[in-house]
Amino acid sequence: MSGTTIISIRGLVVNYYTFGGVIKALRDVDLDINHGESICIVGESGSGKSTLAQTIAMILPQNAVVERGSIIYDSVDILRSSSLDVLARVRRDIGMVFQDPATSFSPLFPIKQQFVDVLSEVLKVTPEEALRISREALKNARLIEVERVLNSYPHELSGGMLQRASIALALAKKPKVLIADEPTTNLDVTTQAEILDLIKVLKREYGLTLIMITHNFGVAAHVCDRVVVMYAGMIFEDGPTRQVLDNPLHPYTRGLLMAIPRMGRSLTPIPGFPPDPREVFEGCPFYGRCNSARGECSTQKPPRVVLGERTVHCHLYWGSQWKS
Amino acid sequence: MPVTYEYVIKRLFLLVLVVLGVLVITFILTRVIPARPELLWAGPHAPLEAIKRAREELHLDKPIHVQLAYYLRDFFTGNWGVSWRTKQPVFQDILSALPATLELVIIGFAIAVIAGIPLGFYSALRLGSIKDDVVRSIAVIGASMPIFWVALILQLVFGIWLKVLPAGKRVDTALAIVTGFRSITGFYLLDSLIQGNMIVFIDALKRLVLPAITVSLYPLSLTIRMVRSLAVEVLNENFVRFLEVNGINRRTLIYRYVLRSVISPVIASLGLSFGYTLIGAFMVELVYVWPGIGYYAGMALLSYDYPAVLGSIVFVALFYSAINLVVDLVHAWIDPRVKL
Amino acid sequence: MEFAVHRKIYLVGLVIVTLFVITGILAPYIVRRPEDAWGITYNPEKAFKQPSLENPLGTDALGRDLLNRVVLGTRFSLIIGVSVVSLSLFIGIPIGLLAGYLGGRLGTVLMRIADIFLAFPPLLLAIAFASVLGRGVLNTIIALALSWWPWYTRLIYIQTTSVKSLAYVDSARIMGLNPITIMFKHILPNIATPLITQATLDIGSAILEASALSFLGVGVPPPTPEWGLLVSEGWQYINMAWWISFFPGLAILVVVLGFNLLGDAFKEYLDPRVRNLMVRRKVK
Repeated sequence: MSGTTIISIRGLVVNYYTFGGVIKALRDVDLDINHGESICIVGESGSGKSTLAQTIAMILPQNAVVERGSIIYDSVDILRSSSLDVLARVRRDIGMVFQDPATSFSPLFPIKQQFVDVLSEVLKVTPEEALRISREALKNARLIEVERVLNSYPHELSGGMLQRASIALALAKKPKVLIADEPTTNLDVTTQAEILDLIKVLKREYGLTLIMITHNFGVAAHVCDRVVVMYAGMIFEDGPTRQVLDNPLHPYTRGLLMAIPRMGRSLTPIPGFPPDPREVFEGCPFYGRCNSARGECSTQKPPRVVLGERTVHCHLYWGSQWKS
Repeated sequence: MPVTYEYVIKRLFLLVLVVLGVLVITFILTRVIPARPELLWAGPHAPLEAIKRAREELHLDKPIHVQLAYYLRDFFTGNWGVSWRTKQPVFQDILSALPATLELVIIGFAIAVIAGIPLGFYSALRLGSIKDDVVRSIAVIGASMPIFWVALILQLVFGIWLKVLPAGKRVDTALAIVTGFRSITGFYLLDSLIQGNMIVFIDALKRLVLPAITVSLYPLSLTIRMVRSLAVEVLNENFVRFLEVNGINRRTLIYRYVLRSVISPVIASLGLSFGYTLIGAFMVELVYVWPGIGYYAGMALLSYDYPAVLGSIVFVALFYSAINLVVDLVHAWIDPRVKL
Repeated sequence: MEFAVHRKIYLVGLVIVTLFVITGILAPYIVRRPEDAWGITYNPEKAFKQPSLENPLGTDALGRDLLNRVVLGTRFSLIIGVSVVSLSLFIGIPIGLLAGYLGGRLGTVLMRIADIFLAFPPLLLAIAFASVLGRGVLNTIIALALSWWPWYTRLIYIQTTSVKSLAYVDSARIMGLNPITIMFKHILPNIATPLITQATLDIGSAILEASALSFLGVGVPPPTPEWGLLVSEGWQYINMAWWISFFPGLAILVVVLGFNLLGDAFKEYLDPRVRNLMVRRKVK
C-alpha cells in the first residue's frame, strides 16, 4: 500500500535484561507504516508484537534496551534523540490503549481527575478546558452517561465502558497515530465486537493511522487493511489482509491459519513449541517446526523478499522476487 | 471511604477484647505461673508483714476467677500497686515518665517517616543505579544494627570522645534551676518555648539529638525498604504506563498517582513501625539514662520490682493497641478499597 | 548462577551466613582456650588489654580473650536463632493452616488469640515471658518463640484463606483426601515460598531480639558468651575499654546483615515479577 510513510523502522533490535537471562524480544525488525492505514501486528505471546508497539510509543520498561536500529518519525530518529521535544512530540502524536481496561486507570482517583491530568499536560491547557475536551472525547467514544463516567472510580465501571474511556483518553488529544495493544482480549465477545467497531469508526472520524496488536486473525480481518505476522521477534510476513489470509506465503502463517478451529475440519496445530525468547538463532527461529524447511534455514537468517505489495521473510521465496 | 460508625464501633469492640486478652495474659504470667506471687509483689528483702499484706492485696487465698475479677477491678480503677523501688503508686510513676518517652518516640518516629518515604522513592526511581544501591545498603545495615549497641557507640563517640553532643539526661539540672525552668506539659522542648527559655530549649534540643537519631534508625531503614519495594511495584503497574504513554506530566504521575498508591500500605504498616520505635526507645532510654517508661521498666526489671514491671508492660501494650486502632482508622479513611 | 553475579552483594550475604554457620558449629574446636567461654578464669593481669596481635579483639574485665568469647558466642546465636524460628514455625504453621482451612468459629477464635499476642509491641511480650521464665538459653528460645508464632500464623492464615477456594484444593477435597493431608501436602507447599523468605530474614531478627533480651538481663545468664550479654558486660567499662562492647555488637550487626541480604536475595529471586524486572547496570 503506497502513501506517505510516517513511521519507518529499520534494523530494530530490542533486548530485555532479566535475572533469568537476556530476552531477545525484537531481532532485526524492518517496517514502514504509512499514513492513514490500519495495520495489524499478529503473533503469539512472546512474538515481540507488544515490544514493537512499546518501542514506537517510547514506553518500554526499565530493563529494556534498544541495542540497534532506528525509528524515523517526522524526520527524526526517536530512538537516538534524547531531546525532550522529541519525547513531547511522540506523546502528543501517539495515543495508546492497552489490553486490560480495568487496570488502565488508577483505582484511587476518579476518571475525571485522570483525564484532566493527562490532557492539561499534553495539550498545555487549563483544567477547565481539559475537562471540556474530555467530555467531547467521551461523547465521541459513544459513551452515553458522560457525567457519570467522569465522576466514577474505575472499579465502578464495566470493562466495556472503561475501554471506551481509555480510547477516549488516548484520542482526546487528537493524535496522529493510535496504537491498540490487544484492546479486546479481556472483554466478553459482544463487547469485543462493539469496541472493534468503535475503533474503526473513530479511525475514520479522527483520521488516524491505526496500529493494532492482536493474536487473533479474526480481529485482523475485521479491522485492518494490512497485516504483519511476527514470530520470535521477527517479521515473517507483511501484506494486505485479504491477500495474506487468502494466500499465506510464509509456512508459519499458513500453519497459524490452519490451526484456527473450524467446523468440519480436524484440528491441526503447529507441531512443537514457540522457542525460548532467550535463545539466539543462527538461522530461522521457525526451523524445527517448519515442514517446508530447507538446509539453509537452520544456518542462515531468512532473507527479506518483496513481492509486489507483500513482503515475506523466508528462504523459500528467495529468488522469486525476480519472477514477474 | 467506609469509615462508618459501624466500622469504628467494631474496631473499638475488638480493642476492648484485646485489652482484656492482654490483661488475662499478664494475669496468667504474674499470678498463675509463679509459685509464690506474693513474694514477687512484695519485692525482695521484704519483711514478713509486707509479704502477708501482699497475700491479702492479691487475694491469693481466693479462687482464681475471683482473683482475676479483683485484678481487673484494680486495673480499671488505677490501682496498679506500689513500686517498692520508688515507693510510689505504679500508675503515677508511669504517667510521669510518659512525656519523656513520648518526646523521644515522636521525634524519632517523625524522622523515620519524613526521611524514609522520600528516600524510598528516590531509590525506586533510580532502580538499579548506584544511588539506589547506596540507599539500599544504608537501609539494610540500619535494619541489622542492635539498637542498644548503636546507642552505646554513639554515646561514646559523640558524647565522650568528641564531646560534641551531650549524652544523657534531658536537661542540665543546674541550668534549669538557674534559669528558672518549670515543667508544665512534661515536654521540655514545648515547655521551654512556652516560657521563652531559649537556653534550656537549646540544651534540651542538644540532648535529644543522639537519642532521637538512634531511635529513628531501625524504623527509618524499615520504611525505606518498604517504600522502595512498593514504589517499584507500583511503577510497573498498568495505569502508570497508560497515563504516561498518553502524555501525563511525569512529576504529577509520580507525586500524585504513584505516591497515593504507595502511601496506603505504608500507612497500614506505620503501626508496626511505631511499635519498633517504642521498643527501641526503651533501650535507648536505658543507655542514655533518659527518664521515660523504658528506663523505669528497665530499672524495675533489674531490681525485680514486679508491680512496676507489670504495670509498664500492660501500659505499653494498651498504648500500642490504641495507636494501632488510630492507624487502622486512618488507613481505612485514605484507601477506599479497605474492608474490615 | 547468573543471579549471584548480577548482584554481588547477595553473594556477600551468602558468604556471611555460611561462615556464621560453620563457625557456630565448629566454635569450641577452633578457639585456643575454650575454657574462656565459661570463663571462671580470672586473670587480672590480662584484663582490659587493648586489641593487639595476641588478643586481636582485646580482653575483657576478667582477662578473657574477647575473640575467643565472640567466636564461642557464634554457637549460641546460631542455636538460638534457628531454634526460635523453627519452634515458632512448628507452633504457628498448624494453627494458621487450621484456622485458614477450617475457617468458621474456630478460625476466628484462633486468629483473635493470635491478635491478642500481636497486640503487644515487638519484643515486649518476649521480655514479659522471659522475666517470668527466668534466664537461660532454653527459656530465651521459648520466650521468643511464644511471642513470634502469631506472625507466622497470620501469614499462613491469609495465604490459606486465599488459596483454599482455588481449584486444586477443591479437587483434593473431592477426591476424598482428609483435611490434614490437604493442608500439609497440598496447601502448604504452595504457600511455602514467602514463608521461606520470611523465615530466613527472621533468623537474623531472632538473633537481634535474643541479644536484646540478654542485654536487658532477661536472656541468657553470665558467663554464657552470648553477644548481647557481652555488650552489656562491657557497658560499664565503655569509657576505658570500648572494645569489650564494640566487637560483640559488631558481630551481631554483621551476622544479621548477612541474613537480611540473603532474605532479600530470596525475595528477588523467587518473586517472578521482580525477577523479570531488575535492571543490569548497562555497559554502553
